[in-house]
Amino acid sequence: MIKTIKNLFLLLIILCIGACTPNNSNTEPDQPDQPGSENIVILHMNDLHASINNFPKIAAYINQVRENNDNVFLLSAGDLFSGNPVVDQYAEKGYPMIDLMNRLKFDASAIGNHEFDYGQAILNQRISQANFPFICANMDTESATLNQPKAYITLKTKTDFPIIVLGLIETQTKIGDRYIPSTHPDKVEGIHFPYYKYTTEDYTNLKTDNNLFIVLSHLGQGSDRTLADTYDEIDLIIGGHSHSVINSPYIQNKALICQAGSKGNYIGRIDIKIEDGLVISKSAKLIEVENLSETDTEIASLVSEYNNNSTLDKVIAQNLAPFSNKDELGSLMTDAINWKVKTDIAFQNSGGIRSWLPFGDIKIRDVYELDPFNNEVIVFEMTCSEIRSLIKSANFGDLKVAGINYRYLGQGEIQLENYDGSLLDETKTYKVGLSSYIASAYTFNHTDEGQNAFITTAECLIDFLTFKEEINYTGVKRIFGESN
Amino acid sequence: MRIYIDHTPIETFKGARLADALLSYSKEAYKQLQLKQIWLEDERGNRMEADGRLWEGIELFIKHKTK
Repeated sequence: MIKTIKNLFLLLIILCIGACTPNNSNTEPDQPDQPGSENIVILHMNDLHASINNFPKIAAYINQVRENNDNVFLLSAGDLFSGNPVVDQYAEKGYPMIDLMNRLKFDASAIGNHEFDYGQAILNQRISQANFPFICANMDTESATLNQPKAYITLKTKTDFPIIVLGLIETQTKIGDRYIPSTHPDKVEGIHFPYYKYTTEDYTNLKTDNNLFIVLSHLGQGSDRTLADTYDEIDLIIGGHSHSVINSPYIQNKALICQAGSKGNYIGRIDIKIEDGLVISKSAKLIEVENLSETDTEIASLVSEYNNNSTLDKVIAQNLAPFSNKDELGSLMTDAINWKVKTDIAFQNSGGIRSWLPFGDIKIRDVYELDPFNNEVIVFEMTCSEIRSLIKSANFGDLKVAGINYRYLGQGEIQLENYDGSLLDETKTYKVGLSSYIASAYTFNHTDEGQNAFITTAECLIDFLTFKEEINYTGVKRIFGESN
Repeated sequence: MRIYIDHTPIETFKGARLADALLSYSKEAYKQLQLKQIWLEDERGNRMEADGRLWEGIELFIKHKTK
């Protein structure tokens, strides 16, 4: 009896010391689980956008957390792809990203709008490559190439406590009477996307007193709040899409809302305590990856291998004659927009042309040097008068063009011509593709607010050159007249 | 799409990123964002990164890095 009291006293002292000792470690080991109690750690990232350079530090951190905790789950809230040519232009597009995520043992990823960027067939390949499921509840792929993803998964802790994870994707883009995620409509052909708020209602019955109901959301923080306000059943929303750095995750209605910036610059960490099958506490924070010191050497070596491969040195076309001025280069770049986005007219500003394409072999790397700004193509329905207003808003000859010629007539007048010299039909409206820089920085008349085509001008050019195989822009001239 | 930066309404295209809207608001502020001299927060004080997609009606506030 005395021995038992002594042991209890000793245990009390140990617990007191433990509770009072500051813990500066980022990995925060669990308190030992009491009977009927359990600690869960959920680590999450979102909008990785093909960024792989932080993976060695991320891997080291995750390994440490796993060493110190029994129940660690790793989730991604979507947009794994698009943003790094090393991954996006890899022979098997996106392969390095999934390879690295497999090695870090992700448990699930939501499907984000950029998952469609390589096309549905390639997305199927990447999903097959993944050792983790891609989930999305508000997506019906019945008449599409893409295989139907699971709406949700159930993760289990060591004591079988269930964690429901429901995937959702934003549908902010309206094309005709159809709502789709922020991507080009061709990329999601045949897929129906029900509104996330209505879809969620079909799954809220999964919530019980004895489980955790998580939404892995690629909706953006604004919609995450709406969702939390609408459904009391949601315990946790792990978000993406808006690239919000939520340093202090907050409770909205009953849900804890979290999001971890983008590009693997942050790891979100959520700590949940379960007692007798009930969630008794949940807290969350962000870990800034830059501040982590440990790296996983195996992952570092793999990242280095991917970074040093010859992806960007792939020859995609032959340039049969050297470019002699920016008008020729701009003509090529705008032809690429018209071809890829199916616009009638396209413009590119001189400032967006940053280098020359070489004579002979054109490599992928050359395109990114020519057009490094990650500008996207924005499409406007415009009248001739609005197009003239755009040209007038720029310096003389600044806007390179495809689809038409234009001529300075003096006194600030501009004439729009077809390539054969005839005048444009003033009664028509034209589909005009602009870089996002022009759409944002230039002041011009337009009644159409503009719609993002969700493809970069550089991607248009790579696809165009790959399609054409050979180019020759010698003497191409589409801007005429003289400065006033 | 209408959003707000420091209470000023900005009309931008559908599918705009934060950097696009900031460029419409002020070229100077856009440069400062690229130089990391400023950042933008939403109405709850959460920083939004330059590539983050905006939504209708979002209110953003410019924050200056203190020296």
